Amino acid sequence: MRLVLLLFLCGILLACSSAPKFDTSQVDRALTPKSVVADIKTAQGKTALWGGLILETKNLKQASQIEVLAYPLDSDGWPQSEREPLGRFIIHHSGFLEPATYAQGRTVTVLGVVSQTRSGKVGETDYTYPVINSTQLHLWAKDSRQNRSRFHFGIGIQL
Amino acid sequence: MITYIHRVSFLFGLLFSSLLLVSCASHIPEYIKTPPANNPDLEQVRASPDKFQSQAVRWGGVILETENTNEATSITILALRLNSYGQPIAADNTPGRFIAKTPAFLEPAVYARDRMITVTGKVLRVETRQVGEFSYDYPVVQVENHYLWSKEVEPSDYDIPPWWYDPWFDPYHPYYYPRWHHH
Repeated sequence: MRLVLLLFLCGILLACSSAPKFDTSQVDRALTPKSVVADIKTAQGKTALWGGLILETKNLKQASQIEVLAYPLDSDGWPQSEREPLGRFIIHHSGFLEPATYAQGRTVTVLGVVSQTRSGKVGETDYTYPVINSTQLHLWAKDSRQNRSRFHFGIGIQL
Repeated sequence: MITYIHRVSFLFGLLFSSLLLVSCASHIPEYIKTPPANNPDLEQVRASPDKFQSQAVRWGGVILETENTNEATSITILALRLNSYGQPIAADNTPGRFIAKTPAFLEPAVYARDRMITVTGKVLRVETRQVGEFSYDYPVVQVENHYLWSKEVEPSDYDIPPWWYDPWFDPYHPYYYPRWHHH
């Protein structure tokens, strides 16, 4: 009886400690939002693994769009927001994403394909955003920053 | 003698821990604690609303918006899974949105965004509203009872079992442990 309980507890701990698995075999690590904007022709169709803090989530008729401020990722794919930001980008995700969950300030990491650039404005400044079509999107749990060395909670959506 | 004391203390322990569990849930009204028969998931109702018209439900979650008209109050709720007392469990995984409608005036400053609420009632219909450009199908529930959870209480996702407090908890403890106490 006790042995079963112990095994069960170990099982819980193991289950909590798995980081999201991104298939990074196709990822071009040299791609950053800035380099893509500088040369979209070369970057188009390449696979990127980017992440950062959500600025805004918009719902379209059949898709959702997340504007993200990018940060360098660590080896788990976690955006290191204490480092210098790499610029803004837009995640295009087919289907509905709940904007109250994908809310401003939350941390996401996305595996996807660079599709295009889009012009917008930040305040009154013209800004060119790279757009990435998501194939795997991971929303990091709210408290994962403090506990990230031991625990990773979160939800993932894979297409 | 010692075996007797063991048995008595075990019984007291049992009584005490059941009191603890009871006292935690005692302020929650029975109509919130007990779900209706065949309480369907929100996903099921969103998928086939016709099948569930007038179905009794107990759903809960976090308030997104409270709107007041002269006749009614409509609360838009982002649903969450409920624990066995009917309390929403904070999580990123949501079954979706629904609208709780009541003829009563509910103060929007109290029924404010981010507060946790559980409602019981009947599924009226599905109403399509825009979330950005997305047409979202909201099941509308005619509220019979509701419970606004206090801000302080952290939701727990399970009823705490005794071995959580004592990993060596053994219900047979007084009868064969430890051996050297037997006379």
